Formats: sequence, C-alpha cells, structure tokens
Amino acid sequence: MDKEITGTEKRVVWAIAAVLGAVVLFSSILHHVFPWVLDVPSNAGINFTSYRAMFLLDLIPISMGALCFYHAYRTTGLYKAMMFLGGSFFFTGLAENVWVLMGRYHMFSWFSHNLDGVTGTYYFTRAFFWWGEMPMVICLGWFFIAYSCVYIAGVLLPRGSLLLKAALGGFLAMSFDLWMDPVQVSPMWQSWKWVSNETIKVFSIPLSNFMGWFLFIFLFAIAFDKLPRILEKWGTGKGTAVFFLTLLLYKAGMLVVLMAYGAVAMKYVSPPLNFTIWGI
Amino acid sequence: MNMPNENNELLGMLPVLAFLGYWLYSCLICAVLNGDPRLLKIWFVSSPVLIASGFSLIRIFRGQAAR
Repeated sequence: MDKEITGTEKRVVWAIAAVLGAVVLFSSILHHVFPWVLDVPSNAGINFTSYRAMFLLDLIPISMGALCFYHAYRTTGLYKAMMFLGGSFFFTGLAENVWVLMGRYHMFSWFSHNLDGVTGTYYFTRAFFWWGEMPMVICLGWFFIAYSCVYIAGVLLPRGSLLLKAALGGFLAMSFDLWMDPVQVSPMWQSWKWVSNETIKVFSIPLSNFMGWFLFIFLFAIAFDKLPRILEKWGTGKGTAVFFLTLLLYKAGMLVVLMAYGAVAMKYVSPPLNFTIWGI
Repeated sequence: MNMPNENNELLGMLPVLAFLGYWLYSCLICAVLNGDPRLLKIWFVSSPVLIASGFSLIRIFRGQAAR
C-alpha cells in the first residue's frame, strides 16, 4: 500500500464496508426471498433471470469496479478510494431507490398531469445482489463510470477548471448511456423497464434519465473535489459525516430539479415528443 | 478532481480500460446479441466515449497525463 492510513480513516473504511455489505445482504434476501414486501414486479418472460445467469452477469461490472477501485487505492489510498465507492453507493443508490419506489407506489400523481393512468417511473428486473430495489451492480456501475469519466476528463484537460472537468465527465457518461439504455431496455435484455409517461423522450427513453446521468457525475465530481478541504476543516471523523451530508443536499437538490422539470414537461409539452432514429 | 498518478502506464490505463470494457459489454456485445440492426446503427451516439478514451490512453501511454 502506498498511502499511510490513520486509525480514524481505518475505522471509517471498516464502517463503510460493513454498511455496504449489510445493506447488500439484507436487500438481496428481501428481494429474492420476500418479494411481496416491496411488491417486486414479476420477471415472467424476461431472459437470463436464473440465479446462475444473474450471478454470472453481475460478475462483469464487479470486475470493472474492481479495476477502478484498485486504481483509486493505489493512487489515492484506501480511505479516499472507499469514500469514492461509499459516496457513489450513497449518492446514486438512495436517489434511484427513491425514484423507483416513488413510481412503484404512484407517488408522482400528486404533482403530474396528463399521466393517462401511467404513474410509474422505472424498475430493474434482474440482479443477484441488490441495493434496496436497485441492482448492486448498478450502484457499482455508477462508481466506476463516475471514476473513469472524471479521470479521463482530468487526463484530457489537466489544466482545466473543476467545472470543466466535471462537465466533460458528465457529458461522457451521458453519451455512454445514450447507447446503453436503448440496448439494455430492448426486448432481449429488458434489464430495466420504463413505465413512465414522460412527454419528452430520446430513443424512447425519458429525457430526465439522460439529465440524471449528466447531473449525477457532474455533482459527484464537484462534491468529491471538496473532500480534502472538508477533511482539513472538520477532521476525518466529522469530515466524513459532512461529506455524506453534502452529498445528501446535492441529491435532494437534484431530485427537486428533475421533479420540477417533469411536472412542467407533463403540463406544457403536448403532444409528447420522442426523438428517434430508425424507430429506436 | 485531482487523482495523483504513479509512474506506471498500465496502472494509469486501468480506469479507461474498465470504462471501455463495460462499453464493449453493455453496449456493443449486447447490441450484437440482440440482433436488431437498428441498435447497432446508433453506435455513433456514444462516439465521444471512444474518442475521449482513445486520446486519454495515448496521453497516458506517452506519459503526458498529469502527475
């Protein structure tokens, strides 16, 4: 190991690892063994949903995540690598779970109009390991995509400002999802299902999804850049809590922005727009 | 965000290779296996990923990445 780790940092690392492990274990058991508790939708007719297939498919993003974690560990030390990993799970995991469960329990109908009976958002179909009601590997995907995109932005723009690097990172992630999302929701894969009636779509995917991709990476890059100053001011223990609180504030702000956009788009964009190429 | 690099090109390439690997799996291979040619034809929407990854790999290989 290349960076010294203090006793407090070691305790934070163990705490994050324990929380991640416990949530994944609890969520996976809840999802597979007690699906009625959170009204998990049926996977009937969806490919690759045997436990063996789901486990093997989970291994692919886990491998990519391991490469990025190793890089973060070697270049920034175990504490910061763990903060990036834990922060990604916390930042994206909570937000996506809120989004999925609000849709599942029809909590958008109070502010949206023109829903035509569709009050959902989206939900995920297959995974062996879960993080709440989203696959653990989706959280992990956010971790290594955020890490890679911001790293690439830093390599390409070594003297660029933080905002420029964060924006380039967000743009790369969004560009990646512009192809991945239509592929993954295609009839063969159906890795997740959109049940949203949003009025502006790109490739039949709600525009808010792509806005979310950009905002997630952009805001997380900015928040993570603040970590050294937060630690300097508050110390490791309190600084870790302040960092996660900062993420919570960013996340709340982002959800408000996306919900406000959704409400306005639902009300004023009619007929619905779908920007497609070749009918995708 | 500053991520200190080591004098090790392979290590420096790991995040880029992970991103490209996931792009290869979740976009290209899944689109090919899907069999719908329209999904393959929209590959160009993710071309910024390929361009940025390619340039960053070259910069890392040449030792031009920020130390």
